[in-house]
Amino acid sequence: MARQQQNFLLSITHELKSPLAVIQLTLDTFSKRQLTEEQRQMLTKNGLSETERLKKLVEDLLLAARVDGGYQYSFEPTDLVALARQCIQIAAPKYKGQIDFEQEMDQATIQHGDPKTLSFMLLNILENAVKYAKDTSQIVVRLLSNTEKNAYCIEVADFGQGIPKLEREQIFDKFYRIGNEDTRQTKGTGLGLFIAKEIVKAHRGNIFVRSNQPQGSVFTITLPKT
Amino acid sequence: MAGRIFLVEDEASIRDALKLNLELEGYEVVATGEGKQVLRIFKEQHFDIVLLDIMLPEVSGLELCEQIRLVDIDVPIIFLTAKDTSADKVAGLKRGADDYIVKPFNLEELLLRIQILLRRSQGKTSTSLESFEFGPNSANFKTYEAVGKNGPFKLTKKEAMLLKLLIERRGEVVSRQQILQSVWGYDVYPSTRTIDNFILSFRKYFEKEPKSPEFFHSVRGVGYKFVAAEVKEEKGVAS
Repeated sequence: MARQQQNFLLSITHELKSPLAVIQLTLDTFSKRQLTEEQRQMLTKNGLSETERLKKLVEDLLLAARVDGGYQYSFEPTDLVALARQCIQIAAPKYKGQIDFEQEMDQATIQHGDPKTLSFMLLNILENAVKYAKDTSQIVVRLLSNTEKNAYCIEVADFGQGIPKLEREQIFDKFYRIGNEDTRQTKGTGLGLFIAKEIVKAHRGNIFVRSNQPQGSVFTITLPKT
Repeated sequence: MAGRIFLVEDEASIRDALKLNLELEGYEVVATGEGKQVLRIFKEQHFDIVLLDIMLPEVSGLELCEQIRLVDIDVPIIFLTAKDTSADKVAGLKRGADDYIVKPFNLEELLLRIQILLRRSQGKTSTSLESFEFGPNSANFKTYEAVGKNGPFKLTKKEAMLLKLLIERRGEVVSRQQILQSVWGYDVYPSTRTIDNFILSFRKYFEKEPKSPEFFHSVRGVGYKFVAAEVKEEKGVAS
């Protein structure tokens, strides 16, 4: 946990300070320089996108604190087909390849679903797949029915670098990030999968990851139908 | 004060905004976010200063700083990083950086610190010899006039620069890389064979026996060393 805390502090330092540095630099530049229209547009676009990044980070931090205890879920019948389609639509523009949706049924309604947190959870898994498999050409989302367990399963399969076997359980721990923060290839805080696990747990479901032989990872989320 | 800046930063937004500002200050900027490319680019081109991030994909900026120092002991390096503890700063300076700036930073302050380091390093190289006598030979680095074994002649500008560099660091081995950076000093270097030809010319001008040189020595696989007892006090000027 000490290493995770240390990694979290380092990554949060980076994730908080980088957007702030861009925003300060952008404002300094606007006040100091006579700029062309093209230069103004470039700086404005970068400044706004860093503001979004900061906003997302603050939301993640707040949500992580809430799901850790005391989050007020509002459960209602929720169609996982519609929910999955919506998440794919949001994630697709960030991915160069194709996100395919394979479903066994037209509708998959769970009785106790909180659409807001379930969307956050699935989007997080999808965006992780996009981030860690960015040079691949396909991500597959499958929606299956498990009659034996009276549950629906959502699988997100990528063909990226995969996750070392020893770390497959740890990645759901709070602040856990694979590798060394100084030489990190992807940005993040190590909170996303922790939040995802807590949300699935609150829905009486479970989440795990396995290897997508021969390459990549498959995240499986199981949610009870009733 | 213009100069060439090597900007190593993996956050594209910071890289773009910094590059723009540095270019508007009159600097020439080469920027990359790829840690693995840094050493190759550094070896291929001449830079007056390096701005280096620490948290980079694949290679840490701390490691890169050490590697750059192995190639070039003098180039000013500024760390530009989100890591802000005293221990981070000490670690960065221990690896050979000249300055350490924490993000987010004030643009004016960064520009000033770059100017100060550039002024200091350029001042260091411009304090130099005016002329030098060795054996029966002499060279004047202002007028390019020289006297060799066949009497007076004119050095070319590059010959004068190279000769001055070797003489200023007499007794030391000067690497080919250092020669290329100090004498050619622009982004596309000539081949190291070019330096060899200059040394051959020096031996022809100044050595009694060019095949067994007294002054201009090759150090295999490293570079060259100038060895000479001073005939008389050299004249120095500090700018």
